Amino acid sequence: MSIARLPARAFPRLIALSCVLGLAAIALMVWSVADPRPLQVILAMSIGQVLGTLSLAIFAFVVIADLRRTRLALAQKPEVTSE
Amino acid sequence: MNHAAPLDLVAYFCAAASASILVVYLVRRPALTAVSRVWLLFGLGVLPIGLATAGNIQGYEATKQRPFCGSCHVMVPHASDSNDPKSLSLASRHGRNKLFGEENCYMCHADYGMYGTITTKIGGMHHVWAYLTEYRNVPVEQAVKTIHLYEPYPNANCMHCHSTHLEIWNRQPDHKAALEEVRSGKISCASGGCHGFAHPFTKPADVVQKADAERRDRLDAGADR
Repeated sequence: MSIARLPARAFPRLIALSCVLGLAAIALMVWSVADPRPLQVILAMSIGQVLGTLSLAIFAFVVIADLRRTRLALAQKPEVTSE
Repeated sequence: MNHAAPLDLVAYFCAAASASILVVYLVRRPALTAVSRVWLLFGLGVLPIGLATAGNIQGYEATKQRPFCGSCHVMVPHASDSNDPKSLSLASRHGRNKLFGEENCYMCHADYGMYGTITTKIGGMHHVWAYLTEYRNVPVEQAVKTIHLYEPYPNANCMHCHSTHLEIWNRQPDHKAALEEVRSGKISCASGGCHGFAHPFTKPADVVQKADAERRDRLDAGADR
């Protein structure tokens, strides 16, 4: 499926997923700052950062898909010509 | 633990602001407009990147602190001895030096050189793995006797500060006599016969006593010369 053909109704769900992943990443990173012990620091620097990067990647994907969809819709509109 | 408070504040601010934006989005579910995209860019991109940067620096600094090393139960005796003002072990003597202080574990055990920080961190992950797979359930009394370095302690780490090139160092007859052996690592600075063990409580008592006696005799002989 190309990005532009992703159904628009999926966007809010993907953004919500991105927010949940982002919150999980924030929680792990804050835990390591508040209580810097080996487990916390390793979790923040591995899983925390993977989740954070994934959430940003999903957001970027949705924004690009939405922009492409809008552009495609505009291109498919019949041109209005003045007589 | 000694934290750089401003970085903590930056991390907490970024976390609070980012979490607020994300929670508001999840509760209200606004349409994806230019304005909401910009808010989400801050909530999912700019602020978490700020948090990750501050958190990584803080995490990295925390890994240099003695309490961090002592947070695994098998390292508690080493950390406690380092922190003991009455201890005469090499580790404790260096811990009392302001240049080492709370970072004395890291300062002595870190690899130096261009990629030293990276190799030290890889070594640290090795410690975590060894702890999880071998030592997690080992009693402290037993661990103290069995834990060992992966490789002999390199004199190069001592020579990072004690270069062996200054006249004051070479004025000591034992140093002068063993200069090449010390530089090449054939004789360890932290051996029983030289400056004593860094963590003497990990060695059998008779070995420590014998080494102390030898060292005292040598110092007395040096004083007579």
